[in-house]
Amino acid sequence: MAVRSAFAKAVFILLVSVSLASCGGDESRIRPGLRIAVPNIPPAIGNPYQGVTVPTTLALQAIFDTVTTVDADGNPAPSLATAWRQVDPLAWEFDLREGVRFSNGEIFDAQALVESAQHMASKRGRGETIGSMLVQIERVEVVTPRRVRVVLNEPDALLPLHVSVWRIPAPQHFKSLKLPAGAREALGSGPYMIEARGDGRLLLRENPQAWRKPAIPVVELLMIPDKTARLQAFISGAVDMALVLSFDDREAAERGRGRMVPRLTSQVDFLGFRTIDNPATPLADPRVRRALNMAVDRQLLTDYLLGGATRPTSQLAPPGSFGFDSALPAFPFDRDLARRLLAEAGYPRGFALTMVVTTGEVAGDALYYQQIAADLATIGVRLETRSRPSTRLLQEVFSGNIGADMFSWNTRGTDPLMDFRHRSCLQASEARRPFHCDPQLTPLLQQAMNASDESERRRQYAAIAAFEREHPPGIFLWQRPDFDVIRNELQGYAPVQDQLFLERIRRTAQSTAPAEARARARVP
Amino acid sequence: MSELLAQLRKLIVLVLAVGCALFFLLRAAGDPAYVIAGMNATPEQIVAVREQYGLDQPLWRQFVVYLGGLARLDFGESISSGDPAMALVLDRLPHTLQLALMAMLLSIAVAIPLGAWLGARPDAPLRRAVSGVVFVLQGSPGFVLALLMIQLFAVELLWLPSIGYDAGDWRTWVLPTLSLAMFSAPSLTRVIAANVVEAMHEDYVRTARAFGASFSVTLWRHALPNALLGGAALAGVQFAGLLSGSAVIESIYGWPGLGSLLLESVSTFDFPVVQAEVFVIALLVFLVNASTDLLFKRLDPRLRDRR
Repeated sequence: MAVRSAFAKAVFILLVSVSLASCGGDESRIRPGLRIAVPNIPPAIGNPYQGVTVPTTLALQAIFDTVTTVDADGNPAPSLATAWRQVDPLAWEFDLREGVRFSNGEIFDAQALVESAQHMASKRGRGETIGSMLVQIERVEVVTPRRVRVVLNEPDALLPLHVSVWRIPAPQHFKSLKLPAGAREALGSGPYMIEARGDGRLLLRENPQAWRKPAIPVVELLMIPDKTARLQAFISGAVDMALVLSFDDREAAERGRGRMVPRLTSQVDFLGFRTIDNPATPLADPRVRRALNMAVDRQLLTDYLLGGATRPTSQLAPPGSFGFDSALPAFPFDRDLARRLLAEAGYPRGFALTMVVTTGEVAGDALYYQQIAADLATIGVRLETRSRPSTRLLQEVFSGNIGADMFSWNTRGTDPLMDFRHRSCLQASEARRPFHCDPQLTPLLQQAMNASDESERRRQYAAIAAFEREHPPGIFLWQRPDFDVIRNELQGYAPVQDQLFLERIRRTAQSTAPAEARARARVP
Repeated sequence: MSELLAQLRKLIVLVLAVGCALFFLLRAAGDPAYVIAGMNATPEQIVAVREQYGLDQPLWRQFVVYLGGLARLDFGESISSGDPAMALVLDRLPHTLQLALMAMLLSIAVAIPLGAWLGARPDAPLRRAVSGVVFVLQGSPGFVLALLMIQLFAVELLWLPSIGYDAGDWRTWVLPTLSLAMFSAPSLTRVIAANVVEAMHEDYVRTARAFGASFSVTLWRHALPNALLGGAALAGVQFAGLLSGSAVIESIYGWPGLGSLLLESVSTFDFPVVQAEVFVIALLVFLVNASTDLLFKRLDPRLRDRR
């Protein structure tokens, strides 16, 4: 009897727990018109000075306006600044858009840029992502309320492109925040503002003051770290979009009344060669490095594992970034030529190499590392592959303690100069050691860095890219694609690299009403 | 009182041991400055980040600062967000506690009657078949079951949402609770069933039968209470395990609990949050184990008498 009583108590407690768990929900909560599953919602999301990759940019780009933006060809385009000109090698002037207000009613003018630049120049600002990317900005001066002069501490011919990551918060409100945690409460002038956050969700509501008007007034981001669970949430109707899936998920997404949208990121994947602190490595010979590039059938990999969403490349600037040379041909897949090059270099019977890689960064990456090893084996190069967590690999590469001849890596950004420097003899600091250094590249890099004219810098970048094709610092792979799935009735989703333009997404007239779709799926 | 003091001493030793081990293990795992600064970091930026977070200080000095913080339960600010690390952890704690509690109660609610039923006549064909299913479930990874349940109930049948957490909607609780319970219920069922089998052959059960007690009475009143002792010990261990080991399930369901926070903070080398979280989990596990000990003594008169 005692046991029955205990059992009854357990059931009672369970029921009470369920009831309690069900209580406390805010029934008046705003229902979103668009729900998006994302891998994570970083705690700092909302801080305009942190984050340049998806999914952080998805929210930040919706909340804040940047000084400029980047068009599909990789050129700077108007945003808060409508025009710009270089007044001398160390100064640029920007004309500012009129009639812009922040979501709290503050008026956007030159002073907002002055104060934002002051924050970025502070010790805290320099430790944040955007402040560290714009260290060349010394200060901003007010010319008129609608015009600023940006004073630099070193020439930057591409400043209008570089300030495309500079998000401007409402200055008075930002000053009132208690940093660092308060920074995520910053207010912007973008199409949305944060309505609520917490419990793995971020609710965005239309900013009535915005000059970029959103088509869907309320959007919710849901954190679902597991990729399969994100896909299942999409198929079940729980979300309207799911970001960062893999090409293999296309058929499942189509069965779930959706379509897959490949999104080419600003990253180029490659397998770096460690030629420094690696005595007698065959990789010191550029012919060997070219041979390895020619032995890998990258077209096969992009076609079958990445669904043709990207193409093999032979340069480390992504298409659409400044300095990308579309005329530079990709390496041919030619094993005979690769064998001849190895023989010329004195390795007719091949050699053994080790490679460390991070798997799971991109869906299917373990498969293509296997295929690359198989391809290299056909020319006699025996590759032993080991796996590393990404954080560990990052540390090993930066500290110069890479315990292998090759490693998986990628370049990032709209301006490839920084990456050029990282794999050059100019990068000699103990804090970040280079993995490759070719003295012949140094003068080309220095010329590019000193070029104060945009077209001149473009020419210098092309020269560097051509040099690197002949003296490759790694096996060039491709511009990294991500795969998002989106409901068929949603239109206007046309991301440009890491910019997702949430405000442009709209439902077509024939679309299923979201409430109806979700009622079918019994989604909360 | 002396028992309480003894437990308190154990707790202090535990906190110090876990805190010290964690400090050095995390430092050995890597330099967070690289992760914070990111792949495009310049050497100057890496140096700036090290200065900002005190990572440029000698290890012993960092350790002294850490111990001082530990004494005040101040683990510093999250590197990712700037929030106090302990506040972030305490914010997530209720979600994990609620989920673990629900899963444990469900496990117990299923395991006790099922274990008793299986253990009463273990050789009956139907019970052998059910035992086989329980055995298979015990060996199945939790994340596989979770994904299968999402596929069935959320994707195919559209009965339940595939993602949590919504405090106002009980349906978001069903699949995460079931998934966690399916991790703990099979082993609990098997332990109770085995204990019932053993108890049913004990002298006191035979005596009860000889005095005319029905099979049902001997099972529920005499055999099962004794069989539950082993189950209670296992349930305590399992509950502690659910608190610290629900990361994968939380990740699959987008459940904003301690597990998902731990995954995030480990992947971003957010030392203060990892330290605060492991401290809280260690404390909880200790409390659960201490409570289990007390419960055990209350349930088993032999242990009470030993005092």
